[in-house]
Amino acid sequence: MEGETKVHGGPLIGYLLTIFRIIFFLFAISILFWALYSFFVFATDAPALHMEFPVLFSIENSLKWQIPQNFEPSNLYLHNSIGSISADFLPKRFLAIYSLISLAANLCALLSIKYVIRILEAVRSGNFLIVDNANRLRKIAIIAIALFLIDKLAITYSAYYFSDKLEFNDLNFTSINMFSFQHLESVFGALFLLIIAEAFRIGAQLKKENDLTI
Amino acid sequence: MSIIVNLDVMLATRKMSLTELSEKVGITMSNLSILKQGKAKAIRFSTLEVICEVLECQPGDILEYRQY
Repeated sequence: MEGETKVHGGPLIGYLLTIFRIIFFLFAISILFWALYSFFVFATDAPALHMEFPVLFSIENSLKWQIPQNFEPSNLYLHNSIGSISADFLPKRFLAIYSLISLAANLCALLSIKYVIRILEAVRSGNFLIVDNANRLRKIAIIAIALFLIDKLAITYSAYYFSDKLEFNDLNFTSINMFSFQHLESVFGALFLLIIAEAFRIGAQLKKENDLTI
Repeated sequence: MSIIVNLDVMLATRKMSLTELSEKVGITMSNLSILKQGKAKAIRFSTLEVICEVLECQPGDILEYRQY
């Protein structure tokens, strides 16, 4: 609309747009290859050597350590640890479920990058304060929460699966520990983004009304 | 909306084009089109004043309330 005040994005927006487009392209390619590889492993009896699965564990016995300046040797405990394992062959059912969860997480991340690109495109064309961008921000926030939950689901599922199947010296494999709840701050970030999106929506509606005031 | 803008009627009776009105009142063609098509959310008193001045009419000649 000619009557609207349009503020076109500066060169920084152009650079950011290029960077995010490259990230989107590379990420999409990597997801495609990963999906094809997972399907190949699943369809054939090929070893799943390049697939990493998270495991949670703790060490049963205490370890000894000594700081050079300290006279008293101290005990060291490893209650919460996270690691990743790979195996030659794994049951297809586990592979299929874990691959689907991981694929869902990757697609969520890809979708959020797509929405960021759409917002940047809108900024570059001078239509920043619009309801569409508010909706995109809200979707990014919801996707971030979904991504957090899916990621935790993947870790928990994998850890739960391996917890009673792995035996290794003093290591005690568990299905849940402190790392099952890490990155919780990303949920708070997403909730904050939801508030920003709602404020953005109100701002966009006010701007639209103002633009249609002759 | 129940408020009808009779700008096209007023222009027709005065044999004035929208372009001519736009030049005389100093409002862009796109904004006048929004007003004429009834897409506007609001109209400023200053806009109404200048349109009435150019068209030599009353605000009631331009705006009309119809109950649907």
